Amino acid sequence: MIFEHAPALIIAFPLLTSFAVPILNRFGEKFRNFFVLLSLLFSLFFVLTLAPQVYSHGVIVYTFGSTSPGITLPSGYSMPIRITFTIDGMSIFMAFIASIVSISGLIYSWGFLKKERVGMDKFYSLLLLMSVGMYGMIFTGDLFNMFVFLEILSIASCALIAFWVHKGETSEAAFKYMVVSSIAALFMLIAVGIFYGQYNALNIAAIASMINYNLLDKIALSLLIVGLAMKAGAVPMHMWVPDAYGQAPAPITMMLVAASQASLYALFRTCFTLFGLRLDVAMVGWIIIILGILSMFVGVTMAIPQKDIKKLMAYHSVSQTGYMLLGVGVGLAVMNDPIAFQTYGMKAMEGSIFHIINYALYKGLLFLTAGAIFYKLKTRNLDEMGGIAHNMPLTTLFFIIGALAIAGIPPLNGFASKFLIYESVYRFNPLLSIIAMVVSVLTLASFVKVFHSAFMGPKMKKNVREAPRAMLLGMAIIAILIIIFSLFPAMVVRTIVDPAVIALANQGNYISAVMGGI
Amino acid sequence: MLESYSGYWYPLVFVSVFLILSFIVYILSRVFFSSAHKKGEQAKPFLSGNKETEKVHIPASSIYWGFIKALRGYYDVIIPFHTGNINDYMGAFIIVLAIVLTVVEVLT
Repeated sequence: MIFEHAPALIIAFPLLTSFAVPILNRFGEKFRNFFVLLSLLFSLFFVLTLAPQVYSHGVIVYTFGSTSPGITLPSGYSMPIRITFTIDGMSIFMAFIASIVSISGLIYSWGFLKKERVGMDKFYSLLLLMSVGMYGMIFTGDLFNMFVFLEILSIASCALIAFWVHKGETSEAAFKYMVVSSIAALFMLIAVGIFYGQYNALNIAAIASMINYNLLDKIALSLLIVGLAMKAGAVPMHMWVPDAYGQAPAPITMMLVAASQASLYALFRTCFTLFGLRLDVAMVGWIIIILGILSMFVGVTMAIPQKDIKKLMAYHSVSQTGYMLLGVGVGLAVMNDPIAFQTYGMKAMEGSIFHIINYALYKGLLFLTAGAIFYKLKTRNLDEMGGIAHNMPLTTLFFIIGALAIAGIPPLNGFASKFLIYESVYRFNPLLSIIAMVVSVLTLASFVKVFHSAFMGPKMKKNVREAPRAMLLGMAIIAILIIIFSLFPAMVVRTIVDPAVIALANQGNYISAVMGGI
Repeated sequence: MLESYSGYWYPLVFVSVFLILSFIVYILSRVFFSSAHKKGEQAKPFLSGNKETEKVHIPASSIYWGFIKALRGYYDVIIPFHTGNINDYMGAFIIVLAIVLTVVEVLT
């Protein structure tokens, strides 16, 4: 059955299509675009077919080229040595995000880059490779392949940040992103080497079953936490974010948001699945909480004085990443206290993981509206904008939806996830919850500034019309999802968020699914 | 209904109440304010008694200047920290790595 190979096919369709794009390009723009979309739709389809299996059977282990991930030597020694995809509720949750962001980013690109005549085959190849990198990082069951997919994702992202290479600033932003990504990947590789040297294994479950939290493991843990936190854009290692998000084409900025979340996923996987309760969870939890609080506060306060609309939004990305780090950090910090974990630790993680998908949606939408404004006005400077609402009513509507959601205004989805974070974090430490609420107020203030300066007032430029249909469609897909998530948050939490939280919290299930199948 | 540890959130109720209240406000405005002037001086926004000028738009860089001025001490530190120099980015990374390594090695 083809569905047995769904994990491989999710990667295979965009990967093969990415290399076929230069050939497809020769048959015309529409032909190429159709096949690129088709490959991403196939990936989404297989993610949707895989999800019920994961929710009903638990962890799915897919081994490339074999039925079992490991070998057993005549001596009886067993070890998972083959390349595996290990898919649980958290992986599927992240795969939904990667699918939605990739598809809407692609559709938006059709309109946004319509006037570009050169390099579009390379653009779509790299966009598909970004999807492959995200899916790979999310699904892989071994640390070395996580490094490989992180590199694929970083290289494709870097090239796309520099897509408008004739502008000097894009090359500079891409260079910075390349340096940051290379350093993060290098430190991850050192950590992988430390594990391999000690345990002769690369498989996450195999290492997790043997790990003993010695000095070398602590060094590897530190390298992974800091490297991945930098890739996720945590303060004070966030300074590449406004550079890269600000200069990349709008649909790529949206993809970069999901790419950063893949690093966040890797960070959570390291803490919960690789180390689990062998960690000093309180101490590591507090490290993540402090990174989260710093990210929230510095991100939002740096956003307020910005005049460049995309840089302003990029600083808000840093701030929103802080919420996710805060909730998961609290969950981790109380993990060895069963009562605290059951009462508010799980809820904090629930809120944070729900915030991941909410953030991907509303931040993606906001970057797309910023792209639509840039497409029409040819400027990102808020001082040069005004009265856009007169001419671009649909873009204005999408911006309002995104801005209210990011500010956590009820009844939008941002409120639902922040509500869970506030209440559960308050039980852990009221001060942290109060800081989170203040940051939310400042977020609203910042977006009021954008709304006033860009959309309100008299028209600053005449003859500005609404964005092209493909761009509106890309924004509409995201806006509809935001509204659905806003009206039915309990359904979303029950269906996709809770399985993700349970998957993260139950290290034993992950290990036994892989090690039990050898 | 989304339940937290100590409360719950039901957006459909919130939206329903919002729509009902909006409808009531609309009806009240139709009944009690039907005689309000829709044109002339009364319909114009009141800007502190100043004469209304055309095409006035406050630029983004002038918004929240008071907030930024009040937090000048903070912004004088945090803005120069964002140098845009990749060496400083790596410096921040190394410092955080050193702190995390120390905390994880020594305190755990």
